[in-house]
Amino acid sequence: MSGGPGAGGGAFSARLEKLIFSHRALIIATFALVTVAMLVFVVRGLRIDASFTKQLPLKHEYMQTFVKHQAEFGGANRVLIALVARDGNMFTPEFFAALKKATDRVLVMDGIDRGRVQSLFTPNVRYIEVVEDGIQAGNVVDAEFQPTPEALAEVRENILKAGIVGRLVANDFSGALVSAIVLEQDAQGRPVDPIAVAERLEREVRDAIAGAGGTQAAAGREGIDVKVVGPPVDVHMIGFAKVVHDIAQGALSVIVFAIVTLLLTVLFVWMHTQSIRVAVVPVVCSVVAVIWQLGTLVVLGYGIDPLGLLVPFLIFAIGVSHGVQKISSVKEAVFEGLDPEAAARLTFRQLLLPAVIALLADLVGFVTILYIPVQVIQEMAITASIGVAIVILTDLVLLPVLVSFVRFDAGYRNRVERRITVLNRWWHALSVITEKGPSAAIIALAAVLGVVGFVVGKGAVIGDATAGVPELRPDSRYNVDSRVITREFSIGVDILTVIVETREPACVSHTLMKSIDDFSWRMQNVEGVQQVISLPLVAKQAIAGWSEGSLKWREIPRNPDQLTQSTRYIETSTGLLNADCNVVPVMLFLADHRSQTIERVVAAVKQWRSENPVEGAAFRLATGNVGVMAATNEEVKRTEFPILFGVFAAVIAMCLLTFRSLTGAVLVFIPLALVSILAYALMALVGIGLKISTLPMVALGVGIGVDYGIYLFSRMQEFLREGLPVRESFERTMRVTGASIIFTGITLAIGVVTWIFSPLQFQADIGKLLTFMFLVNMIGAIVLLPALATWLVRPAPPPPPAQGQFAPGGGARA
Amino acid sequence: MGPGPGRLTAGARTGLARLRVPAARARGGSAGLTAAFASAMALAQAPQPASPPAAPSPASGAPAVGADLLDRPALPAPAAVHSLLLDVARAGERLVAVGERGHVLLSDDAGRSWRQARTVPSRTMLTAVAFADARQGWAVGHDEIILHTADGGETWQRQHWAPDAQQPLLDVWFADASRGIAIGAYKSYFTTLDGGEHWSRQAFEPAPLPRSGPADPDAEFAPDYHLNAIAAAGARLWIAAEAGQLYRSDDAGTSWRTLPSPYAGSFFGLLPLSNDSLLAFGLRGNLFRSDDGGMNWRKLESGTTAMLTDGEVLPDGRLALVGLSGTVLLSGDRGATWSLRQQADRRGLSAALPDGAGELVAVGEDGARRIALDGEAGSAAGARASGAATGTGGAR
Repeated sequence: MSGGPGAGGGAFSARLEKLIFSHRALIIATFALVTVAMLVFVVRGLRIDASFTKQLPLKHEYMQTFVKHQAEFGGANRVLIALVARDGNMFTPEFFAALKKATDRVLVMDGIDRGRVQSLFTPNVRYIEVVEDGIQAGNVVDAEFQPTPEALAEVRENILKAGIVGRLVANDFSGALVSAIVLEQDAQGRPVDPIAVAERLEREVRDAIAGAGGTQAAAGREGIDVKVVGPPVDVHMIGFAKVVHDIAQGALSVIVFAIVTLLLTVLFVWMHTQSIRVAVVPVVCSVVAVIWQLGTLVVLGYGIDPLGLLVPFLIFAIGVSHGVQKISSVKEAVFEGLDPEAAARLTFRQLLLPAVIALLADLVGFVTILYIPVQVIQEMAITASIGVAIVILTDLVLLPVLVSFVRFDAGYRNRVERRITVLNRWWHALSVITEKGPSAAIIALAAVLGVVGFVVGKGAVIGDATAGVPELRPDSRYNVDSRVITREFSIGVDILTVIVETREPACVSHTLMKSIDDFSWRMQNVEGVQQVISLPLVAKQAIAGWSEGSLKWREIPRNPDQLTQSTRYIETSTGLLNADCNVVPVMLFLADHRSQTIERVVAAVKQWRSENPVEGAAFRLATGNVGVMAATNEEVKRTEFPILFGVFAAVIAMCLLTFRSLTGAVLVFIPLALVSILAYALMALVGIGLKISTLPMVALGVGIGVDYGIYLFSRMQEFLREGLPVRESFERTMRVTGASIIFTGITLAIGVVTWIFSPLQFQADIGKLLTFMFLVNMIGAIVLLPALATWLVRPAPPPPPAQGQFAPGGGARA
Repeated sequence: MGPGPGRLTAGARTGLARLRVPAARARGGSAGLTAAFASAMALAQAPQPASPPAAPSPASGAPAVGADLLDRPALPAPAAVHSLLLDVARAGERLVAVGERGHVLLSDDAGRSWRQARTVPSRTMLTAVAFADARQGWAVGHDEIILHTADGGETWQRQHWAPDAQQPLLDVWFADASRGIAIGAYKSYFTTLDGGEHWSRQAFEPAPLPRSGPADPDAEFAPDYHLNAIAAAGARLWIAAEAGQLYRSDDAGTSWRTLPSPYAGSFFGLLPLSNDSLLAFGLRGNLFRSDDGGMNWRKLESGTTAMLTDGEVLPDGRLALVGLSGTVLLSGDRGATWSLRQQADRRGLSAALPDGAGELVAVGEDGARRIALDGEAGSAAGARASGAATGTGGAR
C-alpha cells in the first residue's frame, strides 16, 4: 500500500540496517545483559523520595527567605495528635487515661524532641495567675493526678487559667492535643526519617488508642471480660511528617497501577495486532525501556518522587505506541509476501526517520518544561528525556530485531484481513467528514467549543482551591483529620510567615517593636487574614501580665528595661524570634490558600513595606506553607505563557520542517490549540488548579499529542501530492494508519488513566488531564484535521510518481 | 534553646534596686518564674527619667520626636471595632470608646454599630475617656498623651504628650468643661482649670493615715503607686490605686487623704453609690464596700477570682461589674449578693456603660460588644448554671 519495498530511508539507514541485522544475537544479548544490570540497580537502589525542598522554586525571592531561615524557623516539622472524646466530653477517666498513654508513648518515641513535647500531662504546660503578692504557677495536671471528679474539675480550672483552650484543649472541651517536634537528627546524629516517625505514631498511638486500647483497660481491672462498645476516643494526626508519610503511602499504590496498566496494554495490543506473539514484542521492548529508565535514575543518584513516578508510565506508553506503529508496518510487509526478517528490515529503513522525528516531538514537550525552576519538574524533564532516548534505542533497534524472529501463523492473516475489511468500511464512512457540509459543521462546532472553552478556561485557578493539604485528596484521612483539628481547636493550617530581619536586636528597640506591631496590625486588617501572631503582640501581653494583668498596660513599653522585660521570657522555641532577636517572624494565619487570598495578602505586605520603610529592618516574604504556595503560584504564572509558547513554537517549527508546508503546520496546530483550550476548560470544570504539577502536563499533552497529527498528515500529504482529492487521501491514510493512530491514543490513555484513582490528589489531577489530552488530541487529529484540510488544502496537480514519496524523510534529512 | 532568657539580664538589672514585691508563692517549683515576676514588679517601680516639672505643655509644645512611629494620625482599620478597647464614655446620646493604636470609635445607636473618629493625631494607646458634655471630651493614654475633642469625638487635638516620661496616664475625670484631673502610673497627677489649654503636673501627696503604732520604717520609701481609677460622687472624689491604696478628696482634688485599706492587692475601679457609699474592686475578684466615706470597709463575695475593672449603676437600680475573663457581675440588692454571667469567649472586659434599654455596652480585649442583661431571676439562675458548668463559680 504505502511506498514500495526499499523505497524508504537513505544510505545511512541502509548501513545502519545492515549493521544491526547482521548482529541480531549480539544485540539481543547486549540488551538482555544491560537490562539485568539495570534491574539489579533498580531493586537495590531505587527509593521513594518525597523531599520537600525539591518541590520548591528555590530561585524565587520568597524561597530564598525560606531556605535562609529554614534551620531556625523550620519548626514546621511539628506533629499534632488530637484525641477527641466520642461523647464530646474530655473530662472522663477514660479520656485522661488515653491522653496519658498517648503522651507517654510520644515521649519515649525515637525521632521526637522529648523536651518539647506538650500535652496536659507534660510539666512544661503550666498555668500562671496573678495574686496579691506576686504570681502563682503550677502544672495544669498535677504529678499525683488521679482521675477523680474533684481532680478533673481542678484540671478544668487550671486549663482556663493557663489560657490553653484552643491550643492544647479543644474549644468546647471535647478533646486535647499532644504536640511534638520531629527531630532533624537523632541523638547519634543520624538523620531522622519522618516517614518512619509517622509510621510509629500510627502504630503506637493511633492504633493503640483508637484501636483496642479501651477494651484492654476495661478488661484488666476486674479480671472479667468487659465488652466496650467501640473506643471512647478518636485520634487525629496532622503534621509535615504525616504528610510525607501519607504521600509516600499513596505513591505505593502506583505499583497496582503499573500492573493494571501492563495488563490492559497487553490485552489491548493483543486485540489490535490479533496475535499474542506479536503483542508481546512492543510490550517487552517498553518494559525494557522502563527498567533502563529507572536504572538510570539510580545511576544518576536521583530518587523517584511522587510526581516523577509518572515518567515510567509515559515512557511505557510512548514505547508501546511507537512499537506498534512499527509492528503494523512489519505486518503489512509480511502480507505483501516478505519473510519476517525482510519485513523487519524494510520497516526499519522506512520508519527510522519519521519515528525519530515523532519521538523528538515528545522530547520537545519534556524539554520546554525544564523552564520551570523547580527541581522535581526539572528532574522529571531530564529523566523523561533520557527515557525517550532509551525508547529510541529499544523501539528502533531491539524491536525490529525481536520482531524479525516472530513467525506469523496462517490464521493470523485471515484474522487481520477480516478486521481490515470491517475497518475499511468504517474509514469510508468516516471520510464523509471531508465533504463540504460535514466539514463546515465540524469546524463550526470546533469554533464554538474553542470560544466556550476559552471562556470557561478563564475560570481555571492558579494554585489550589481545596481545603487541606493539596497533595492529598480532600476526603483523605489526613485532610479529614486536619479539618477536625482546625474545627475543634483554634489552630490554623494555612500560614504565611513574613520574616523581619533587623540589624539591631528588635527586642530592645522600641521603634522596631512598634514597626513590627504596626505591620502585624495592618495585616490583621487584610481580608482573608484570620489571625496574626508576632513577637510584639506576645510581648505586649507579657508586659500586661507583669503589670498585674491590667489591659491598660498592653503596649510596647518605651522604657528600655521594661521593654527588655517584656520579651525576655519568650523562648526561641515559640518560633517568634531567634536567639539574637534579629530575626522576627510575623505569622499570618489565613482563612484558606486560594490564589486570590494569597495574592491579596502578598500585595498588602508589599504595599505596607513600600509605604513604611523601616530603618534597619527588612520585611521579607515569605515562609510557611502559604509562602511556598505564593512562590509556586507566582512561578506558574510567570512560566505559563513562555512554556506554552515554547512548546507550540517548537511543534510548528517541527511541522514546517517535516511537511515543508505552511498548510500542514496549520492543520496540525489548530486541533492541538483547540485541545489545549479545552484542557483549561476541563481544569476549570473539574476543579484542577494550574500549578507546578499540572502546568507541565499541558506542555506534555501538546508534545505527545502532536504525534497523531504528524503520523496522519505525513501519510495524507503523500496521497495529496499524488494528486488525490482530500477525501480519497484521508480515507487511504486512515486505511494505512488510522487504526494505529486510534490505537496510539488509547495506549497512551491507558498509561495514565489508572492515575485518576490515585489517593494523591495531584496524581489524580494529572491522570484526568493527560487522559483527556491524549484522547481528545487523537479525536482532533482524525476529525478536525481532515475537516480543515477540506477547506485549506488546494489540490496539487498530479506530480510525476517518483517524487511523491514520504516527505518527512526528506525534511528530517535537511 | 538556652540563650533566650539570659542574654538581656544586664540591662534589666538596673531596676532591681527598689525591689518591693515579696516573694510570690508558687507551686511545683516555679522559683525562676516567681523571681522573674518579682524583678518585673521592681522594674515597674524603677525610677523614671526626670519628667518636665509642672510646666504646662500646650498642644504645640510637645517634644519633637520627629520620626516617632506613634506620632502619626491613627489609621482607619476594618478590625478596629475588634481591637483592644479600654474605656467607653457617653457624649450626649453618643458612645465614645478608646483603645490601642489611637483608636477612637463612635456609636450613635447604643453600641450596635461603630465607626472610627475622623481624625485622631496619635497612634498611642488611649486608656481612658471622659466627657463634660455632649461635645467637650478628653482622652488620655500612654506617653502621657491627653487628647481633646470639641465636637463630640469626631476630631481630636493633642493637649499634652511626653513620650520621654515613659509612663501612661490611666484615667481622666472632668467636673465641667474647664476643670479636670488626669491620673496615671507612678503617682502622675495632672490638673487643668481651662479645659486642657494648660495642664499642670502636680505632686500627688495625700495626707497619710494617722499613725496608731510605732513609726513604720518603710513609710519614708513609700513607692510611687500607680493611680488606676478616679471617680466622683457628690462633692467627693475617690482614687483607687496599686497595692491596696485608696484616696479621697473632699475639695475637688485640691487635697487628698489616704484611706484605711481593707486589702493589700491593687484596686482597679470604683463605683460610688452615694456621697458616703461606694464599692472598690480589683485583683482576683476582690470587692469591698464602705458606707462611711471609706473609713470602714466590708468584703463582699463577688464569686469570681477574675480581676474586676469597672462598675456601673444600671437605670433599674441594679449594679453591674465587669472584669477580665469575660466576667460580668450583677447585683439586684445593692451589692449584697452577686450573680456571675461569664461571657462564653472569656475575653477580658475593661469598661462598660448601660445602654438604657436593659443591656450593657462593654469594651475590652475583643473590642466593643453589647451584653444582654435578662430579668434578675433568670440571670441569677443562668449565672449559677454557668458558674457550675465552667467550674469557676463559688469561693475557693
